[in-house]
Amino acid sequence: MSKTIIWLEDDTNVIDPVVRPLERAGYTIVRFNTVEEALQAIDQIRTADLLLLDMIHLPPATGEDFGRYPGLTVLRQLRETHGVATPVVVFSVVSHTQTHAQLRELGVADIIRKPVLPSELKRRVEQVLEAGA
Amino acid sequence: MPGDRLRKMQDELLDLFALATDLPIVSFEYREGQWMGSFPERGRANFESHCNLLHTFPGGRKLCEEDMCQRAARVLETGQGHLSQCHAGLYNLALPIRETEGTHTVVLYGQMRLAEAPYQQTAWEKHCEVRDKLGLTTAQGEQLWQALLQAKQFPRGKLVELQHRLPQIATALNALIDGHEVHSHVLRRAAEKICHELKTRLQAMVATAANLRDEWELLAPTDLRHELDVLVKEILALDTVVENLSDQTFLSDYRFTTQSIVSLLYLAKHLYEAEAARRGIEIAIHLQGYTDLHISSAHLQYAFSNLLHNAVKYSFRGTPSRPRRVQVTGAPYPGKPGYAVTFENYGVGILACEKIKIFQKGYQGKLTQREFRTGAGQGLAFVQQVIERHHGSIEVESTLMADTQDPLGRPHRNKFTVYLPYRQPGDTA
Repeated sequence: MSKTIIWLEDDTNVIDPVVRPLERAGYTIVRFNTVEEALQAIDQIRTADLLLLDMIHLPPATGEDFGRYPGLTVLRQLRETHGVATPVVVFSVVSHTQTHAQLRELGVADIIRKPVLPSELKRRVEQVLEAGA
Repeated sequence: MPGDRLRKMQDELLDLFALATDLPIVSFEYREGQWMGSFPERGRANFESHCNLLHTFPGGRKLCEEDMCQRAARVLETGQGHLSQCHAGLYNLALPIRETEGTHTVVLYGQMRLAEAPYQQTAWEKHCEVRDKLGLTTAQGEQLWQALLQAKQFPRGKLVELQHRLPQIATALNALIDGHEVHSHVLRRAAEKICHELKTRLQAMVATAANLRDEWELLAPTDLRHELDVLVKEILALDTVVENLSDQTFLSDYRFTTQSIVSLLYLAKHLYEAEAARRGIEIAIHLQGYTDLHISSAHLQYAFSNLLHNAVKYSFRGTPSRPRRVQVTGAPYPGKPGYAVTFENYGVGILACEKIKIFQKGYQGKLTQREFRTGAGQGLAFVQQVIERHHGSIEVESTLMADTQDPLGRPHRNKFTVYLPYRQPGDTA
């Protein structure tokens, strides 16, 4: 059975080619474009094999304040409120060292900075999947 | 004041104030248990000749400074501005400048005398006290008294008016400082948004080019694959430019505190450990001696992270049977009150003629270009700026490890040594 990767990213239409090697290798990529979509699909994230998470998103249409890095807020909610233990790889442009430290505390398996080669993304995602298998 | 830009702005404001009022101004900052005084350009020029004369007598300057510190301390205790008579009989106003965490800076200005007769009596009494305290001769005492009589004279009403305006001046100064902070914050957020947009586009380009190259590996003509390869590398080099510029933009003003550099080096290791492991490289840190330095930690974090990342990036790959090592060593600097940190790797070298050029903005190392591992020529320029702002220095050594006349592509032992003094000028801790 193919492994499922949830990709929370609001620019999937622009950077979609980056996951092509993963799809060609047989992984199922489920794309969520907004934080609301992700938070409405917590059970789907819980049972997925990996969450590929962007940090920066547009503010939700609901007007709810998700702070400077909505991805970080979503991750906190998943981990702390809903007890979701799915391995997480952060795939984002955020490069501040302090944010990285917070992500590590939340048990993020890897942090990949954009831009990255698609082959490199695939290799590192597979490394995390193998470690969790 | 939080940071250099705000400090500069405060000095400019005080200069304008001195220009408009002809009053001398001193700003006192309470830092680590001591008051540190500084004078804006005009503030010093407006000093009364009486005060300047007093400073020429042995003990005179000390007397003045002690008196100013006492009045600044009163502002710190009460958080309120006040009007008071100095040790020599002139009136001064003290004004608090609000900081992020309470009041740390006090502005003193004034050196005014009053025209009314009761004041003349008080001023004479104060003058006599100073004269006796400093052991002045009769002639010196007379000279000082005449100078006091030449000081700017105000009617009492004017003094009361100034006193009334004191809180308004404080409010205006603080509003300007707050406005500047909001402005900086907005600029940083805008820079972050631009960086995000640029990197998203770079990601789209690099993914498309790399997929084309990889998926058509066997079918596409060699020259097309080569062009795609160059394109991918150039996009990634462009990303380094964006990365360095954004890192530098997000750094706030320099803020110096005394702290150990150990955590900075371990955080840098933490950031690049995974990348190093993928390349078969181990990062080892070995520090000895006293590591507490007076530093701006966010800036030094950037410098250390950049140097460690370079050491990893420009190392030759290791293998399971022969892992490579990037070594960070630290020790007190021999013969100087400071600490030296060395970042050492085994990989792409730096030519002797490049050892200064690599710190110039936009310069890209010749050997790294040959290896297709070129940076953007921004990072090291900023690292040097950070080190120099700490009154330190950085040195480079690159030694060819193989016996050959052609150093290109040959392994070098590279060392970047950062020297940092334990204390910064003005740090009295």
